[in-house]
Amino acid sequence: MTIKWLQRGLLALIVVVSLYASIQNLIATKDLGSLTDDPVADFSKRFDPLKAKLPFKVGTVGYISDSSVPGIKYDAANDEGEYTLTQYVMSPIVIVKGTNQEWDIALLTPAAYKVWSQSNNGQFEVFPFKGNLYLLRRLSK
Amino acid sequence: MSLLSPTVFILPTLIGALLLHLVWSERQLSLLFFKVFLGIGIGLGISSLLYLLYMLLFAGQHWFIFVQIAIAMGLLIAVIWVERKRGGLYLPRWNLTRIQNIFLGIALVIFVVSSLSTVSYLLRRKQGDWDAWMMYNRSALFAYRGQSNWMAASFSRQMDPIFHPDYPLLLAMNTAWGWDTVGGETPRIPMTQSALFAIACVGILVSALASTKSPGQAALGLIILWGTPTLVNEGAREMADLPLAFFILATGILIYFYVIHKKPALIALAGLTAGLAAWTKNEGSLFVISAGVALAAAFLFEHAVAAKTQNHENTKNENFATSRLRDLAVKFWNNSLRILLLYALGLAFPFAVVIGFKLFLAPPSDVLSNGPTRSIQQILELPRHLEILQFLGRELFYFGGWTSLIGVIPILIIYLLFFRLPINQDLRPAFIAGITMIAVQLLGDYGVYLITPYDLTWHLSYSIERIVLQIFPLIVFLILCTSKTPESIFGGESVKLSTENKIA
Repeated sequence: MTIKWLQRGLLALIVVVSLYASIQNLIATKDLGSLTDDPVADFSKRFDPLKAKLPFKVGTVGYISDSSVPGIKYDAANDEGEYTLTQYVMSPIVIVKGTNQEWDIALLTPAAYKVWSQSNNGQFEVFPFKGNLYLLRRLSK
Repeated sequence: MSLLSPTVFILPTLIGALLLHLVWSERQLSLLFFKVFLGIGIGLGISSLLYLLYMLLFAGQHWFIFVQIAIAMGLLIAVIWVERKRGGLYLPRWNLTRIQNIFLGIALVIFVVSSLSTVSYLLRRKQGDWDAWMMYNRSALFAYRGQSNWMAASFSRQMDPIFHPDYPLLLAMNTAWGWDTVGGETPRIPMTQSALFAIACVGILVSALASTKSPGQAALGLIILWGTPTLVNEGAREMADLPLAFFILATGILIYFYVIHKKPALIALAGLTAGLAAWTKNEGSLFVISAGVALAAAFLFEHAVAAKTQNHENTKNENFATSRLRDLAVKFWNNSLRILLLYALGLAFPFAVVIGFKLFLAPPSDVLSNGPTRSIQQILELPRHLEILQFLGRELFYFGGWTSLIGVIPILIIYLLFFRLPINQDLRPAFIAGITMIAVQLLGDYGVYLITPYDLTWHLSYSIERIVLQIFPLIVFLILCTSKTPESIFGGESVKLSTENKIA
């Protein structure tokens, strides 16, 4: 008889814990952000003018960010996040790190851009866009 | 366009459910529900495979929907033709006990709460989580935007391996044809696909338990599975782990049903779901081996037991016993080989596509990039083994997000100890198959961690929860299949939904 009640108690406990965890989980989804915001879509919109300027829809472009500029401090997680987001929004264009392609994307803060432009003066034609975004065209190999 | 876009998944669901009904025409109500939920996954899998073939031949053209309509219509006509001579649909008489009503009520509450969590998560992460837009949705964009140039771009050797262009394309191809059908890149397509796999996973578990055990046990299955926050959240992340868990669970249930119903088509369907697991994620290819080994082990055991019993009975007449044993050996090879051939038959189409994809399209996998010498060195490092076991043990203990003290799996094990029922001799192959699948899968994952080229601690932290998630629904199913029902624990009558009671 005691075993029977223990069994019933355990089963009831499982049900209660599951229900509690479900409600807690629903409440916790609020921490994921606003229902109306879409940061990935916003990031994508930033790239629309740059994509329009690129002379091809499929191909390979280079990519540099603050981490590519010596002496510039950067947040490693943000830097990696922006790199992966850039590949996502530029699809089906393949992004490769560095500036060895004819066309390259630079996602540089003003300080980083200043340092980079000083050391690469005259090597690239630069098309600036809003949001620290630049399209670079290599002038000579 | 955007609000109606999720309706594009009606066609693949219809294709999957009709195909299932055609090869397995069982009409028990719970099994009809099972076929609808399994049909979601199978239909999405088949549509994804067909869209890859379509993109290889007709990229840049936009008539894939007509391929789907033609297949759905063809299957519908075939089902109507097969069903025309059968009588009306038999429905069970809903005569549930008080305890069954209570459990079904609680299950309904948990279903609503967790479904709201899924919706809330999806709306706050419209493009999915990091891996979703980095791999699966990115891959879909390459196909949808690239069209006639999609192959050169998608599988470019220049692409950074962190974007995993070697990953199978089940989710990406479905998203791409979904966008193609609605004529735009709406995030509602991958969102709906993600939620559909989650609902289908719960659906096949609940309907299978309703068929094999009782309505109370089915409700308990929902309470446990859909009350597990880790699983619920994974269903909204637009990643491939829950679809893989769905196919692993589906394979286990189909083998279980084969043991009960003895319909060869069920083994072929298990082959199909194992093949679709391989088309979902790289771990799915490992699962193809796990399921093959599981079938061999389960039916080898069945015949070994039969041979042992026969041998014991005939020890007095040695000549007779020898000839009988020879007969059994022949029967074993015939039957077991037949089961493996049926499995291979179901596996053939999806796995041929996976092999073709891996050989001719995808770049090499980064996980296997260490080379044999470095891999052997890593295998011989004892601290690696200890670290993997420590992570795995911790994850198995805390998995699920139920409480911070103890996870779902230890609670289920305690539950099993309290409520375990003796396993019927006839059902043993099903449990041997299920346990072997889980064991081989974990062993394979363990091997991958041993040889990973990445930092082991990072790799384990990043993926171990999802590795456990992939096998979790099958663990729940096996435990609930071999334990007492709420009806028997609370002393009520166990009412099974059957087709015996016809509604006038």
